[in-house]
Amino acid sequence: MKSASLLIFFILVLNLVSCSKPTGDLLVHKISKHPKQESARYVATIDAQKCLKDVFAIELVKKEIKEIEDRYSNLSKVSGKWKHLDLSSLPIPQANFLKKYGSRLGDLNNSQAFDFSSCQDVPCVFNKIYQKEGDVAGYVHYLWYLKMGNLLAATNTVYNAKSQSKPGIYNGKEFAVSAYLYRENELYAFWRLLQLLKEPHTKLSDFTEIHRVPQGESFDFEVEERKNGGGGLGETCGLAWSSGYVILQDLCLQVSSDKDFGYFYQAVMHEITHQVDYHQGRENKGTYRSTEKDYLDVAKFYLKEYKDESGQTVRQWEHHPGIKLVSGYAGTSPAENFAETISLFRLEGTKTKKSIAEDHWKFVSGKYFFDKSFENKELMKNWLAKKASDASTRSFQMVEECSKTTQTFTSNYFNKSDFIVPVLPAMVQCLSARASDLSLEISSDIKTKEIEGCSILNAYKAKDEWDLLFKNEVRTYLNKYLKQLHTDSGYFAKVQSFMELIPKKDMAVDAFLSCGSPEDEKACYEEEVKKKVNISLAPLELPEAHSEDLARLYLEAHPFESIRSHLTSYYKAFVQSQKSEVEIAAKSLWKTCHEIPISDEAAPSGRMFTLSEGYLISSVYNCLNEGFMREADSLVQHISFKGEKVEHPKEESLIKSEILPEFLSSLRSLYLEARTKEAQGIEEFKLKEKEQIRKIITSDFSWVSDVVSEVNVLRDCQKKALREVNYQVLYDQKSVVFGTFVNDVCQNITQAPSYLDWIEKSKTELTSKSYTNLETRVFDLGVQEAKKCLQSYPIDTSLNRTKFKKDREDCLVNSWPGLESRAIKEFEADPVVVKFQINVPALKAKLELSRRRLQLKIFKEHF
Amino acid sequence: MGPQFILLSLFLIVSCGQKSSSVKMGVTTRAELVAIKGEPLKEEKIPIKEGQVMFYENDEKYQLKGDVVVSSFKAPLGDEQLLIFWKHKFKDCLTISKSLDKIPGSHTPHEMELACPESGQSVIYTQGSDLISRLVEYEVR
Repeated sequence: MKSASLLIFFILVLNLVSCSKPTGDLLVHKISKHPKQESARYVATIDAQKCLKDVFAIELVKKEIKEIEDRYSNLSKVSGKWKHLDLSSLPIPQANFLKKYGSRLGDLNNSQAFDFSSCQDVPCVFNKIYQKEGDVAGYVHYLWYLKMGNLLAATNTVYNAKSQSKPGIYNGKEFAVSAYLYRENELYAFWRLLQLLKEPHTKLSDFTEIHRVPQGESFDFEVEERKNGGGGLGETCGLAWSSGYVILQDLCLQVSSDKDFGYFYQAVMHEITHQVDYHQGRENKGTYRSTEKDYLDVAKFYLKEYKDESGQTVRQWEHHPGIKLVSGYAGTSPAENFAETISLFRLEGTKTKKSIAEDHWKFVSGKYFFDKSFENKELMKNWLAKKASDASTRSFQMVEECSKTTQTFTSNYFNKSDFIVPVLPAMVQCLSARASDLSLEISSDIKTKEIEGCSILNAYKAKDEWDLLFKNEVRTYLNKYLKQLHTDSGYFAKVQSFMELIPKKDMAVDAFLSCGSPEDEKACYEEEVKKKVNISLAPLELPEAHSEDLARLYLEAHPFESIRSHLTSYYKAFVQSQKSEVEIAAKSLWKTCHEIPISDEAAPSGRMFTLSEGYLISSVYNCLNEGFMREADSLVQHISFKGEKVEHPKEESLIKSEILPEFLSSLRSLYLEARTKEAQGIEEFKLKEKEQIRKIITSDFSWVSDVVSEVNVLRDCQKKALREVNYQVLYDQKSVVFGTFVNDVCQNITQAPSYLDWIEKSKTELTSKSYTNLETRVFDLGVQEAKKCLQSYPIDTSLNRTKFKKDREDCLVNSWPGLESRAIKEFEADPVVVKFQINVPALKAKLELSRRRLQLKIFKEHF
Repeated sequence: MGPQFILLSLFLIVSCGQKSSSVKMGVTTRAELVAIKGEPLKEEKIPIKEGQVMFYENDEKYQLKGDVVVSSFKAPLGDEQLLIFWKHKFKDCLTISKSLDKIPGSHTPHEMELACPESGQSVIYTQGSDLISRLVEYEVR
């Protein structure tokens, strides 16, 4: 018994040990480099006049790229080649970029048009296309891919362009690749836009490419419309497709001489917001987010739809009374309202706040901007909040430093009445000088990092407002710490180590990963952070209010959105490094689903793998959907970092959310590959079989159901031809891929000699059949007439039968010409009779000869 | 036998007593529609002779011409949302695919309608999308 108890005890201890997993086991800790200490010190020399646009340079963009690429530095490299480049020698994102988009760069008519042989990285590849060595262009294009996950294209193609007979042709003209590239100020604008775009705009797995219409050109459909006398309602400058493409022309890319202004920002963000609409609609198992009830309610739209007199479907968006719009264009439809409102909410916060209804404003702020808003005052508050932790830490350091320093300062930033505790004049001067420096540093930081920084902080009134706000904020911190110093001289020593902990993300990461449910994730995260901070501060035995204050400080340094974004970037990086595993899994599922019996009987079912173009035979489609999540789960279990699998449930969940779009993308690539291959096979089949199928059709015309209408003959022919096509089409609809083919096979079928022969031969048979029908009709009319005669001259008794015999017979015989005439009239009007020009007089004569026989038959059967 | 017979009869009565919920285009009258679906949330006139639309929950709408229901517009559910579902369903049909009139000034891609006239059904989707947004049923003429 004793040994059993001991055994149980050991088992329990082991379980306890395994349940309380040390956070050092987290994947994110293993794959991330030791986090850099975020220095509280700024650049010694501050140029308070510099703005974001002044610091935009290659080196800055390179630094941003490096920060992102560093997340991949511990992960497995990608294997493969792109032209001369060994992908394993490249940072993982560059390798993945070339794998995905390597065939979509430069001149799509000529892969040798640009000489990439001297390139060792992706920015160089882009710069070769721009024909500008070492230019910022290449870095901006690549940074766009890193942050947005899609391609800012540098190629001579425009998605879905009707006028594009081949790449480089648009609106009937030929253009060099350079016409499709971006101007210097447009590149700056793309980079600037990257600084402000956050989730959900940066997490759109289906958003794949941005194309530019050649410089100087309008959209081809607009040109066409103008040619046909249409247009005039304002030119379209951008289009967003739910298949993941955005196309832009010059008007959407306008940047002012002050590069921070211009229609560019609103226009491009508007188009990207359309992608948000599509993406979220799909996530919610619908079509568009903007047509979901809650959005329609706050935006005040409803749909009027009906069929008009001609049977055309009409769909019109109408406004509920009281609708308030951020712009006239936002009234067009919910989709435009969504794109316009959200983009202007971010870019013109003050205007938007005044323009839209309060519930609409709250909806957008809560669901798309983490309850923030962007009016000037709010932007300043946002900046203060962002800098709060830093400002507080610096204030802490200032108080500590100034309480000991013997240096003399001269500054009137503060005076002694600003402080709630008595402060020596020397210390007031010291604090003033340091605070003034801090104010300058932070203002400069905001101007060079925040996109509205200069426009607000350089504006006369706004600048004063900001200075006052910041001064009050710093004064609050200083007073807090001065008070502490006054009451507890050991406070600074106690709290110092915690203050040094503030920039570190570890507690925040652990807090985030201990929160499961996404519904209250933010609240859970904040609660967990507070708990962890309290545990960390427990040994210091601080008053509760101080602990709460320090917890708040830590939280301000690591807001929920930024930790989530930080973590998901690592999981994304991890999954990106495992792309080959994802592709293997996709190929395996694809193969399995092609090994089951092929059938198109069952209806397609499932939304994990879907198609907008083409078709997929339902047995394969359903198999892919059935296996999708199973394979994705298996991948999550299977992938590992240096041999170690992921075990934390939240990490598994986050990794799975990164795997799903990659897995889908791999399956779609396999589908497109198979479809392209099949299309080639179909073309070969068409060439080979056209004559044979024509022969079959013209050898037997039993497929003709209606000889009268040529349209119907053609339709019957096409149906027959399609039935004769014995090619099993898996990746498209047979009627679509063979549509033109069957048209060609059936061309002029009614003029074909064999058809005309058949018609001629059929005439005799048809005439005979028609006469039989005519005679039957006359007989039937005769029977009807006979029944009428029986009413007048009944055969109910033998006496009546005998008595009225002659009358009955006369009754029928006298009415016979009339009914015969009626039958012949009907016969003459029969389209078949008309079509085949049947000799009616001849049949009439024949009918006359049969007259007595038919009458006698009726006498016998009915009289 | 007695109690079992009564039970069976009851079952039959119950099942026969359930109203048929199908609305037939070109046949069902306004009164019959109200009997099936209840009173509408609202009604609106439309610019066709004797035309109006009745709005119901879940974004269902019924178009009437005079006293007769002639078409309906519904949100698709489940697999009905898939465009491929309808391509499969209409594969033996002589389908017509056309773009609807563009919303003036809008720059989202065209809405398309894939119709099977012989069945009186069509679906609406946006060009480039894999999902449909509306199911339309109409009188077969």
